[in-house]
Amino acid sequence: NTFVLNQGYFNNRVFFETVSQSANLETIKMKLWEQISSNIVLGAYNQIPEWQLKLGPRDRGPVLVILDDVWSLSQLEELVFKFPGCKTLVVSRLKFPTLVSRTYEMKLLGEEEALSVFCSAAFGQESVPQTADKKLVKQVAAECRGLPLALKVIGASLRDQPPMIWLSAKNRLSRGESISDSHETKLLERMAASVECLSGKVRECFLDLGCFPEDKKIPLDVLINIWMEIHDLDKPDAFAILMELSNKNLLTLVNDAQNKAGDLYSNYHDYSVTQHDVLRDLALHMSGRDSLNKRRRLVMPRREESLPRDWQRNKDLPFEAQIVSIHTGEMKESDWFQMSFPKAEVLILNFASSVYYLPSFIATMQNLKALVLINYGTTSATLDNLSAFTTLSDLRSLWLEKITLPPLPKSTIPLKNLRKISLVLCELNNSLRGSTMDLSMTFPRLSNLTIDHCVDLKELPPSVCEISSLESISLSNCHDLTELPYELGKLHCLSILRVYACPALWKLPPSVCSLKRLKYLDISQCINLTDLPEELGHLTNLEKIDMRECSRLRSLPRSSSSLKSLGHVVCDEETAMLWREAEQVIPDLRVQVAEECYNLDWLVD
Amino acid sequence: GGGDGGTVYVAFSGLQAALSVARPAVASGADVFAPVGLGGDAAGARAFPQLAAAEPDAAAAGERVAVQALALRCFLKLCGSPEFQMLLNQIRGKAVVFTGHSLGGAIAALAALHYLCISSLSSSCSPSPVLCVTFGSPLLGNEALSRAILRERWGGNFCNVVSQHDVVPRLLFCPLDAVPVHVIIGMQLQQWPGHTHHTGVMTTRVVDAEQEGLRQLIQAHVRTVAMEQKLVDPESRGGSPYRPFGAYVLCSPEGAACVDNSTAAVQMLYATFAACYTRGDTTSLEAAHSCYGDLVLKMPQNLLLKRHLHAMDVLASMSNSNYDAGISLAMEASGIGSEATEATTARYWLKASKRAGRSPSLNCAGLSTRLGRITPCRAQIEWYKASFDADMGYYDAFKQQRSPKKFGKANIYRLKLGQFWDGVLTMLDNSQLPHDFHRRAKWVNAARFYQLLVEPLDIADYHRNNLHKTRGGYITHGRDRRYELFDKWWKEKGAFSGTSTGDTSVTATARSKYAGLTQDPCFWARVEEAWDQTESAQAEHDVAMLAMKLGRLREFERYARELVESKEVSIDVLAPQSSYTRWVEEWKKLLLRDEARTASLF
Repeated sequence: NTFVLNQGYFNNRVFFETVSQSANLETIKMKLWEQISSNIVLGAYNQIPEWQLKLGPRDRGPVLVILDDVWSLSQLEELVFKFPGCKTLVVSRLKFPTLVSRTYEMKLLGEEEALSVFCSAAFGQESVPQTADKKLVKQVAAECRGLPLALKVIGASLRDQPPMIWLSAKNRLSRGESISDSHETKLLERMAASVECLSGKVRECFLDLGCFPEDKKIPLDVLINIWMEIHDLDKPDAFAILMELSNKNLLTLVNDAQNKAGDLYSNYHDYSVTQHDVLRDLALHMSGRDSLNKRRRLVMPRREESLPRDWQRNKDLPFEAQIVSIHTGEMKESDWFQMSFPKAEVLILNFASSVYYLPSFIATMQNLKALVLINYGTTSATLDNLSAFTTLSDLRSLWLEKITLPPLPKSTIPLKNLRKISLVLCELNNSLRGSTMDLSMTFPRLSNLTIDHCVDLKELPPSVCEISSLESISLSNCHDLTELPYELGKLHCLSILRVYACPALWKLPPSVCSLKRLKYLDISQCINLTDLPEELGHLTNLEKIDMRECSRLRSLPRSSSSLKSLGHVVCDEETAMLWREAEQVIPDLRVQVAEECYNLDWLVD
Repeated sequence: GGGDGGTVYVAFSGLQAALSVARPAVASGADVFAPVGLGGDAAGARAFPQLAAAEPDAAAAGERVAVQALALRCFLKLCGSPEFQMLLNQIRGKAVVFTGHSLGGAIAALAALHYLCISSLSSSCSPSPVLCVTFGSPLLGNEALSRAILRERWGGNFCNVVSQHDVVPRLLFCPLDAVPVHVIIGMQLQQWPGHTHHTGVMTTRVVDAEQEGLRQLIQAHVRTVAMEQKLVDPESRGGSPYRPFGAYVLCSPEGAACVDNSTAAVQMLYATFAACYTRGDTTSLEAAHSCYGDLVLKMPQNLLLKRHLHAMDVLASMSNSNYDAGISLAMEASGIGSEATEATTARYWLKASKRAGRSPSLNCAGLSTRLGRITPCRAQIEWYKASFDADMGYYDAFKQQRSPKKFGKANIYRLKLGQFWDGVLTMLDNSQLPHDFHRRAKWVNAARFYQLLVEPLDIADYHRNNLHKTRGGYITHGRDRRYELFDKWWKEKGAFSGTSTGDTSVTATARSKYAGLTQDPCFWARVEEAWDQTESAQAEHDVAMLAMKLGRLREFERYARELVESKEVSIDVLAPQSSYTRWVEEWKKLLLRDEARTASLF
């Protein structure tokens, strides 16, 4: 670790101490204090008078204490001096938001820095020596993706090895395998500290992350949902685990999710997480210790054209996996073979094609609770072999991404236990056009309906209003959606209604006002919405309204002053004026003017 | 004319006008005060080019700009005289106040309009300040003129002083054939010291009974107009075509109140007149029409007086604000007592007039802040554009909704920008922005940049929804008004700078790189048309028709090629998958086929 410090300010009073995991805190504290006060302390640390520690050394000017390699909050609490003028710089793999006021995230190494770190581990010098194959060295270094630890460990393990070993190392790394036992153990040894100290559930959750394809964003909604299903967590707990993993830098929250996802009503499908490849490899490695049929997670680490050969070899025995993740290109009927997954609860199918044949073994997964289909192709895919769906009586959640939904025939077999449907980037028109099917019969227990980025959605089928179990409807980024069903007010359980970034929507049906249980209404970015229904005030349970960027909205219904439970309104400066009157009447109302923020994340697909 | 420091005063007399119609003994109001379209008259069109060319306004029920015949005739006569042209030359670049009483005021207003027209067309960048003050003048123009003046943002240049009892300013609310011309002329001539010696002039005194009848007539008709105005439907308008424009100062012996929009002016013209009528005031018509000298003298005194509200008003306004008290004072000053039946209406309109009173420059400053806040949206669309430059270009990507997430964001930004600029234009139409707003480089450039970047997306949206098939071609049927206006602004800007730098600027800035944005905002609409033409040409069997279609396509091909060669297009036009690139391929194939066909004929 290299620091460039302005030595002048601290006048050479900078003290550096490496803490490490098994440090003797007493000794370190003592040593630091002796240096700071330039006094020899006789006896034990706790014999130093309290006032001395509080006031610090007299007339000595500011002090900087640098603590390197700190591993836990309790260590840190012991070591931070609190006298005036003392600053502490903590270097750690973890975040300590409670104690440390400012966190600077160290970036991963750039290409050149990474190469010099790698070379110093592999060759003992900072550049590639003349004798080595420069291209190969660079390729191996690149596989470490800028992670200093991996660079060091892998570099060191290849020291003095013949070119053949280097080549195999490169291939194995690119396949996500460990290059040798020593690499594996060393990396594990170093990483173990991060992972092993996690509690049981958190550790399992970390290992689940390996089931998602590399270099892709993992939709937060999918992740949280899977955690909830297979680890029996509730939403706040799942979220707490997410934050713990994030604070330990074992995953990265993107799209500002850190700040926003914690909000009570925020929807998770807008946010996503990513994981560093080396960490993903670690997760894969750790969950792949058991034999194939005994593994808890059966995962294809990389995208391949067909199913792995060793799966085929072992297909006669049942697989005991709880999560099955398959990542391929196009799949035809002949590409599949029969496998048996008696314990599978989650099936993740990643692919990239315009036609996808569903495996028939889905029908035999009696315990399947969550099914995730994600198409990474450029156009949306049509599904074949839909009959596989018919026996999924236990299925609780369904996530479809970039899929052309088939027309739902009248005789669709009910999915009795389905609670949650998420349709992202799907084409729905065919499926909804002329659909007379009674959705409440097909999805008798549906509670969450999410439709996002479905550009061809013009209106919801009216029979949605018959699904009386619905608690949350979320429609977002549907640019052709002009109206909501007239009888929406029939959904008496509905507590969350999100209709955001639907620029063609010009009004809400008046029956919205009879949604007695509605707690949250999000109409942000509905920029053509001109007014709200007159009887809005009947929503006496409404707690929060998000109405950012509703620039056409120039007035509020007169009844809005009677929204007695309303506690929070998020809006723009112009709309905030409209709430002024209601603010005087509703005691706990807080009107928050949201700052507009722009970023370029949306340009990355 | 007279000078005072830097300001020139030019006063007009209505005498000549009055004399000109006094001679023919039988002149009916329908002839003398008939509205004459400015566009229909060659001299009129020359004197007021902008107003004559103004398109029929939907808000004015499709009327053309028209003004009162008598005033126009007199003004044009004056305008043709060398003295007047000399005067115009002398006052150029100075602050001018045009003024006049009665008919003279109407002529003064026309002179001021003429001066505004010519000085806004000339190249001088800052038109000199012009003010026109009329005293007791009859109405001059129709609703279309009032709208045109608003659109040109000249409303603030006109101030009409009207006394409470005066019939003349209210006269033209009556149906024209009911207007008693001789009364007006008589009052006009009465002002002339030698009028008694003038032979052949009609009776100078109006008999009392006639006075009373005239008052009733006027009150009835002003009332009709005032009532009709509250109905938004323009179809229901009847009676007189004349409407006020500019600011109105409503004077009474108590003081003066000012309103600055024409609706409020009509309402107040009615309310003040009706109030004195109910009070039973019987000032003679002549006295009421010639009292302006005294009123103006009194005005400074009124300002110096410390004003007290009447006891009743104080009680009424106890709970209210200073603002309400101010309105009460204005009511009193305009001569409407709080007990009058018109009090409530007058109060409402005074308030309406005051509320709209944020100054244009303040609005403009606020708008600049909002422009700053909306600009990131434009930057985002630029990024969107850049992300497709190497592939299919942002036009086609948007049309095909490539990368739905990116499309979604870009679409929201597009709509937000459109709403912002529509808001700007609405403010402009309501003259809430400075009169030279559309000539300010900052705004013209911002609008142009916006247009060049975003109009292709609007074109894409239009064609994505197949509106060109249901509504007709984009350029003729689908363009938003804002784009046509921005085109005009940009052209006018070019006309301004063209005189100073000349044509050299065109050659001097020949591009060495492709433009950041395609300089023809409708380029993609033309490409779409070319595609349609190409497709229909491919299916065409009739030789003559085919030749015609190919001719049109050749024309487009030449136009587009020139644009590309002079690098006036952005790089996205030439993207490998763009509809332009694909069209060029298609066009080559079509030509080959056509050559083969003609060859086979011989």
